[in-house]
Amino acid sequence: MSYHLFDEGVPASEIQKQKRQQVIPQTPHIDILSRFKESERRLKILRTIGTHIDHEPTEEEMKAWLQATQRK
Amino acid sequence: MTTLTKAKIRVPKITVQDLERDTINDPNIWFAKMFPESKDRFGPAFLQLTGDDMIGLPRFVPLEINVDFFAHALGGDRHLGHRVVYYQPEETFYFYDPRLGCFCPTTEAKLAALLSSYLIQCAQESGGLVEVAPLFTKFRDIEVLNAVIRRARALLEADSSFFSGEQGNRRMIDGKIIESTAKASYELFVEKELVKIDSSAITVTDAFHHYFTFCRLNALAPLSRQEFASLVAEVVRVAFGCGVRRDVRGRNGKQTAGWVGLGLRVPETSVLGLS
Repeated sequence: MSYHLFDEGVPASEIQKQKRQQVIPQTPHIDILSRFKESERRLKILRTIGTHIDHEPTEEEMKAWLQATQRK
Repeated sequence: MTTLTKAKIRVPKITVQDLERDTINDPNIWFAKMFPESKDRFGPAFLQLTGDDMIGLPRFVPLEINVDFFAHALGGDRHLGHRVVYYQPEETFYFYDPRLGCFCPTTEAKLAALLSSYLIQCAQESGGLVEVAPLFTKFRDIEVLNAVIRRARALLEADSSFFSGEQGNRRMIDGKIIESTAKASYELFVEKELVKIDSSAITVTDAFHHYFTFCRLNALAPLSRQEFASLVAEVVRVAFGCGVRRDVRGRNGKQTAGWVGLGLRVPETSVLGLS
């Protein structure tokens, strides 16, 4: 709990509500990231070792992956 | 193995409600959740033995692997953007790499390793009521994994149109992306390497040997001999107006399949500098 808000007289229930609102929007990102990590874990088994994909994923590659997951 | 009472061997029908349940004490639900489409098409992952142990707790023993389920599961989890196909003309498995936006070749040994990792992951996440020994040992035997991969060749088979034409898919070979509209290796071979020479003849076997070298030198994926023989015949007929004959003398002096009036442009196969 944020004590400075509590000291300012904000009710504890309100502080908790604000904290929940901060956490909720992050949940999809955490879910996407864990799915991406699982995807990479499996793909790494299938990939050959080479220079074409031995770097950390770029933002474009993450977007391309996300698009591929939405394809039917 | 623990002695069980009320033991029952089952091939369970896994419903949507079952998928809501906790997966840790039922590997069939664990795999069904991971690959729901495979479960819908081919049933549960394992033939299961269930029963109560000495203190009355329900036990789960995976008895036999469902080869069809796992072969289909190797096709990839669409929710992760994965797809694996067996490209029959080259007798090679390809997987879709979402980071590269194209299909890449992979080996059967790698697919076996992927399958093996699924089984270990399931064993790791299984609870104390599951007999995990078969997941770790019996089902990861190379013979079992190879049986799954042999079945996957049939279930995930893609024909020559998969990587060709406007609707075809892109793929990467030796670090180079090949568009689906690019000419096939055997078409390039006919165009670049064969020439009409009235006094010459070439057998299908010799043409294949040259084609194979041509592919290696130009970083192209070669077809199998059988596919080459069936596909190249039509291209040669269109390009040079000659069909395959059965009376062309081979190197051993025996009559075999080939073309009369056709020869190689240059004795040695060339590098095209394809990009």
